Amino acid sequence: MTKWGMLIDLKRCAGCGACVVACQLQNNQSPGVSWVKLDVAEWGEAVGEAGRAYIPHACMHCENPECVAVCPTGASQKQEDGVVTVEYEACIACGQCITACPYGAREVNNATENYFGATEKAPYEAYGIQRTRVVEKCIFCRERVAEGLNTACASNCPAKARFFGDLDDPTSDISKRLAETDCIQIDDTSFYFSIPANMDQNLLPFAATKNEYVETTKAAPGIDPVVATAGVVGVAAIGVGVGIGIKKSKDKKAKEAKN
Amino acid sequence: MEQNITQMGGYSFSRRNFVKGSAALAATAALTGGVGIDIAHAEGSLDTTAPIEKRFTYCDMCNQVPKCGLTAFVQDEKIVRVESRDPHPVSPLCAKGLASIQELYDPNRLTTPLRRTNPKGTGKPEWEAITWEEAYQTIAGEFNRIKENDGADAVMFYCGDPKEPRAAVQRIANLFGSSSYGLESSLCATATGMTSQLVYGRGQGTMGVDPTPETKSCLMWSLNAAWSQPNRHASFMDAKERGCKFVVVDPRITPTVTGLADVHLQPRPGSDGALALGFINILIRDNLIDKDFVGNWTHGFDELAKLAAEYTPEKVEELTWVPAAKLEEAVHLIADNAPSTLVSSSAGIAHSSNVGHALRAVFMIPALMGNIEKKGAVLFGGGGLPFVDIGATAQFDGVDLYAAGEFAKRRHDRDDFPVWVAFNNHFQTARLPEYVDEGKIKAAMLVATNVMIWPDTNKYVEALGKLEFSAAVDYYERPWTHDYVDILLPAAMCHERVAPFTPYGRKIYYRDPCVAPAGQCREDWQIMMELGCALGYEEECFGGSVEGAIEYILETSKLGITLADLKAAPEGFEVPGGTPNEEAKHESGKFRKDGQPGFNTPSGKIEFDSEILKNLGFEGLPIYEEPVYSPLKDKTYPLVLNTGSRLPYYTHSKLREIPWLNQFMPEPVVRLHPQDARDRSIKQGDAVRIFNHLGEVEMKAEVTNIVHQGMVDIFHGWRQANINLLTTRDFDPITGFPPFRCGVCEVEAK
Repeated sequence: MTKWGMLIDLKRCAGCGACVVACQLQNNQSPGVSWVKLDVAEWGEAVGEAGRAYIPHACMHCENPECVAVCPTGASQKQEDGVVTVEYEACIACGQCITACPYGAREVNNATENYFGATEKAPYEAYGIQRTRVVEKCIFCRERVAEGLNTACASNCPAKARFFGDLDDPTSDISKRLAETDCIQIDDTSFYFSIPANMDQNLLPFAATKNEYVETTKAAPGIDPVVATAGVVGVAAIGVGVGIGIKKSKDKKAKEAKN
Repeated sequence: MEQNITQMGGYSFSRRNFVKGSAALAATAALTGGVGIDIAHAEGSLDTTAPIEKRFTYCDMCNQVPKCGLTAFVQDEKIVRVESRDPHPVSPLCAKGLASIQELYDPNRLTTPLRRTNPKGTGKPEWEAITWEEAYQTIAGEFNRIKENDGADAVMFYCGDPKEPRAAVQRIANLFGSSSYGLESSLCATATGMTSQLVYGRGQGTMGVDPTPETKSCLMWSLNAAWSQPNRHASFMDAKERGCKFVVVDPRITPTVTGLADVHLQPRPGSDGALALGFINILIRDNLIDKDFVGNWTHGFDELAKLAAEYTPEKVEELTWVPAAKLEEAVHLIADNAPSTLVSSSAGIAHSSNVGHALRAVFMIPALMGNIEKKGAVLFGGGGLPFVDIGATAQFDGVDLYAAGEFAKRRHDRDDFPVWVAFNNHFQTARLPEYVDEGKIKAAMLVATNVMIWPDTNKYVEALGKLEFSAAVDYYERPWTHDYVDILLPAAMCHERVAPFTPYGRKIYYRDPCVAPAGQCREDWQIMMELGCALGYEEECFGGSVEGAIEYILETSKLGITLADLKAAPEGFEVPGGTPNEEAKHESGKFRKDGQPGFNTPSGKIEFDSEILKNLGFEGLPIYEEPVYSPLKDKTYPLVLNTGSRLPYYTHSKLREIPWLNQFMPEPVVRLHPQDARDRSIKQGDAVRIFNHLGEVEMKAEVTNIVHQGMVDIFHGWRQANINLLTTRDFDPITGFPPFRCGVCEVEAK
């Protein structure tokens, strides 16, 4: 069985934003929409103690996705290869999935205008799937992957920080990297991180409810609740009850970090 | 331990601001297009049923000229997607390259030649459309008039960013007979090239040598490739994963530091010279030098040792903020892991009022350890194809005209920067305002130029305003600069152009345009060749033909290849021949024209005590001098002002218009250490004033540990908050470089 997964090495990540733009271009995102979220974590202030890392993230493709469970129309689906998809035709933008998602991975596309305020779409906007008033999120570049290509974010990552592939295939990019490095799997999902040695794994924002920084992360990373509320009823509840376990694929370093 | 998580950086990538940013841009677009007027795409609507074809070019969105390969997906003769070309010698693209498609189809791009219709400097330039022929005739008429009255040197030919048109601009300057050919390299890279040649010899200009599989350790001095050249960062990370140790010298905790540093030295910006002397002192004190190499191949060791002995780790800590123990650890990590290499950069440390000495001290470090001309160490390049700039030859540039006309003797900068003149055939533009005031420069051709590049910018703005005539070539109307030009010409972008072709090692890539130029845009090489024809050099400018120029370049390269050969090889033309680089070229006489062993310096050795500098009246040893403005001298403005570093989504003053790029930092920010912020009651996102004796700008505060306490870090090129209004014209006397990284300022909440 194929099971697609993503690993991001935060030691390599430059926070350069290429994955954000590659995704926006590839997946025809409307102005204001970004499936990839880019956070920054800082720790310490004194010389020698201070550290800093960028944390790109998106849909984690949960084993048991809450978004699929709450979707009233069946637009959100879990595919056999592990990828959580959205069927735009069936989506009514009710926003229940946005509330349910523990990772802030979903947002509503309410776009009414084109880039630069132009009266018509630029060629790169006119090309690809046209939609509005739907909820969107990372779909692991389903069309590209079906053609045997890498995801746009991974193939356009200048620092080569992203490793994508079939978790069930030991020769895939991600499986090879998982075998040779210490990684943290986010809960029961298809998403993994490798983090700098001096970074506390609790700084991964998805563990935010475990510490006092929940406010600075605005409940859920990547989404501004104020803006989201304007578009979708009930979204203010985002983040309530988010309790994310983190398990380690190789937990030696992570244990040391905790001790 | 205090921890903090923000969305990139709290205000810079929250969805709310993203939307706000887009709305602001839409408003700008509406104004530019005229209120109430529809903003239409000149390229028209897309036929989504047309077939899709892949075409190839290379990106010119950044200033580093890595020439990253770009694949364009073309439908209905319009580009609908771009992605990294794979395989390609330089890949993948960064955010800027991917977003190039948005710049290409920005409805606010310049697409028509324009002539000014109102007075200069009003803040609201007004234009009328003219034909290319009218533009060329006007420019040629003015340039020839001024040449007749004041001599050819009174016309400046300047090329900024992108750098691709340099060779074409230089050719026209030389044909015209002007020694006033200037580049943005008056502020970038040249200081590194000059100082390395002062140490290692002429022809061995280097920014250091990247680690190879043999390299055990790397001293990385003031480079943040993660942001300036993201795909090069990947190769450094590969070296790290192979086991290479890294010492990174940078006042900030950059992603390069996070990824690479085994030891991170965070010096006060501008104090690098003292840190390098401290490094050298420990090497000598602890007997970590290669005595044979130093004895046989270096000049001035005893004098250097005496100078460095004054820079004890404790004194260095006082001067540089770097803890003595950290410096000791760093020196031993490098010395204990040979072969080690050195990597520096085009800017960083180079933007200091003392760079002429400071960078030389850095380049001396590998020489002291004998890490020169060995695999895995500082091994200079050998052979290679005979191209200069990007895909040009010295003959095409017109250097024979420069030599025959004895331009060097006429140059306006000859008395101001004699060391610069000895190394460069482009003039140092630092004192442009003085040359204009003295009547030496009266007209200018400004290709891809933004006046915000210069320190104390208003002096240069005034100078542009005083010119009798100027013309500019650009993608956009850029008010800071173009409010002072008479004619503005629209340039074609990388997807729309042919020249220059691109050599990578021994492989040459030709490029066919992916799409036709927007509107009346023309590629800058074509503009320069056509202008050359109008100036009277029809034959030397190939009747205005870019292909003719390329044929001539290939002919003068004497490689025996033609344009047809390149066109027939879309995957790159591998030039046959070449020999692998070899070690110890100084022993085999490969560095000197006379074929003798040694280095191409006056002493024939690596010079710790520079004979060239002494001969021109400068100190030969790499003495440390405090920056002209320093909190150690005067605490009126207690914070070190560090400006001019790179971001991965902007290139200097450019790309602010692009939604996919301005989403990350939609407005100017000052990066301030948490303690400095608390001391000033400044909170995350507060509006603040940044000021010193020169002026004041307003920005938002980003409270972050990326900077060392006691300094602020500000990106340059914001038209609403140009930080170069606060940087001074205290040029390094050897290189003419400005102190962008070591000014002073104070920050206050508004």
